[in-house]
Amino acid sequence: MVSAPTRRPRNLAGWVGKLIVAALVVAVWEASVRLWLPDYLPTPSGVVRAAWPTLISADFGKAFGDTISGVAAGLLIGCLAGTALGLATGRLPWLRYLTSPYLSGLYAMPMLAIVPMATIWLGYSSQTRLAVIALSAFLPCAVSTGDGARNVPSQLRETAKVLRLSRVRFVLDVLLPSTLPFVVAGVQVAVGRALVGAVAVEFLASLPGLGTFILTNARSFEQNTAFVAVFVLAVLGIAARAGTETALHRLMPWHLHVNR
Amino acid sequence: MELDGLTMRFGERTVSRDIHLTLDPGRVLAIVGPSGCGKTTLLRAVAGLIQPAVGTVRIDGQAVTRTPEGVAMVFQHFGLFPWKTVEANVAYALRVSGVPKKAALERARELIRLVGLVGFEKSYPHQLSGGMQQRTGLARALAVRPRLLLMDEPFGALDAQTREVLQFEMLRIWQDHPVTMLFVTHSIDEAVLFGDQIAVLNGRPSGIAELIDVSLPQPRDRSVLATAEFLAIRERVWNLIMTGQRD
Ligand SMILES: Nc1ncnc2c1ncn2[C@@H]1O[C@H](COP(=O)(O)OP(=O)(O)O)[C@@H](O)[C@H]1O
Ligand SMILES: [Mg+2]
Repeated sequence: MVSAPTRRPRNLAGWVGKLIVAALVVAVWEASVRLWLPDYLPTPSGVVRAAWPTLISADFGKAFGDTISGVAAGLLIGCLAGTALGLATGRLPWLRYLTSPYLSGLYAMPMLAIVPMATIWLGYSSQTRLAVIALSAFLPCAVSTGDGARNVPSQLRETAKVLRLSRVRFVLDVLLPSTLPFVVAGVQVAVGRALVGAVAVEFLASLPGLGTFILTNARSFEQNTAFVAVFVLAVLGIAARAGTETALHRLMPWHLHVNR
Repeated sequence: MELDGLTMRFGERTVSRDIHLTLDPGRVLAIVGPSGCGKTTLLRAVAGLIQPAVGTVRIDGQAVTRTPEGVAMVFQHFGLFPWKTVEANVAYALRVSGVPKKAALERARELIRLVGLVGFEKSYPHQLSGGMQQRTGLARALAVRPRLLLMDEPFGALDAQTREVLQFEMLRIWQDHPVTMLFVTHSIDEAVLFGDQIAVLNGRPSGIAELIDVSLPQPRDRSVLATAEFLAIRERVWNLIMTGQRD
């Protein structure tokens, strides 16, 4: 109660500070390109000027649609499959024993490394992109959900036993909710990795999409236009993160209190 | 309930040895002993959560292999589901024992009133103090009208004041809703306050040093604390525990 009045100005000061830093970065960027650097480099003012025409252009719309539909489908497949496997490995020690070397190995490996092979197996097609995105999303979901599912707090296990819960009840009413925060954490990482995977595949396999949009524009000295697409990708990543955070707080206000 | 020659082991280590105890319906048996002497382990065996190395736990003549029907437990660490509200936590125990939804909710509200949590029905455990969480734990255990209630240091995780408040409130609740109870605690006062009989555990591995009958009249309240008999029993338990410590 007492600290409330002092917190407000500090928040305000924080915001002012952030704005000042942002303004400085933009100013230094703009000034250095204008004063010393070649003028085909992007500038903040150039990006702002390019923003609207780019966003409404048919090229951008198509690229955006291609990438987003790939990311959405890949995320859906990867997250569902990963979460399902994670739950299973959390419950079945033998399955965990058999799969964990592959899961942790693949999880640590940069997905980009398999793209050249994937293009040969699946062709220079949107299937390759879908596969890479799905795999990129699958791994963090499987690993995180697996961690959560095998670490149901012992206190809750005991409560479940004393309440004589059936297996099905245990899975639905105890295992799932106590693992849910880990599922969300997995999905958050998956979204980031999916976006990276999508753009990387488009670069390497020249598939139509935001990655290729960036590449073509950058190479034809339309760097301001390329930058608009970069910002769009950044905003997507931030929005996904903020969206899942908000959902977590709204729907699972208890999520920080499962493991204590 | 009957413990017949119970020996509890973890690997090579024997925690307690040859425990014989009987608890008759309607009575309260308090088990008191220093921390680490194996009280929780014993209670977990009664609840069927672990199996004794030697001996048998019988409840109504049936050997216990998993938690029997009608046995409820209050944990030192509450054991509430963090994703369920107070009301949902209490109602859940009823739902899984087959009570229809509406009746379960009504009974849950009744118990929430009994333990003094009106106004917090929709709160999540993490929004409550320790004392309020344990009130919820009590409500959940009592809601199913258990034939045997197991209490594992129910007030042990609470601060001294909250602990005292809840002790006397539990006494009051117990008087209005008597239930057969096995009450484990390391607090001597608590054991004397609640027990019709006190089993004092001491030694390593622990055994029952003595079984003390408490003839303090029921119903009990705060005034009991000052009676000569209370003090005498307390002293006796204290000495027994101290003797065990020296060995
Ligand atoms: N799961 C376990 N594995 C091994 N040792 C245990 C386990 N649980 C308890 N113990 C040991 O058994 C002894 C008795 O523990 P506990 O029953 O919790 O004591 P109390 O409840 O009387 O404080 C302690 O020394 C403890 O370290
Ligand atoms: Mg204990």
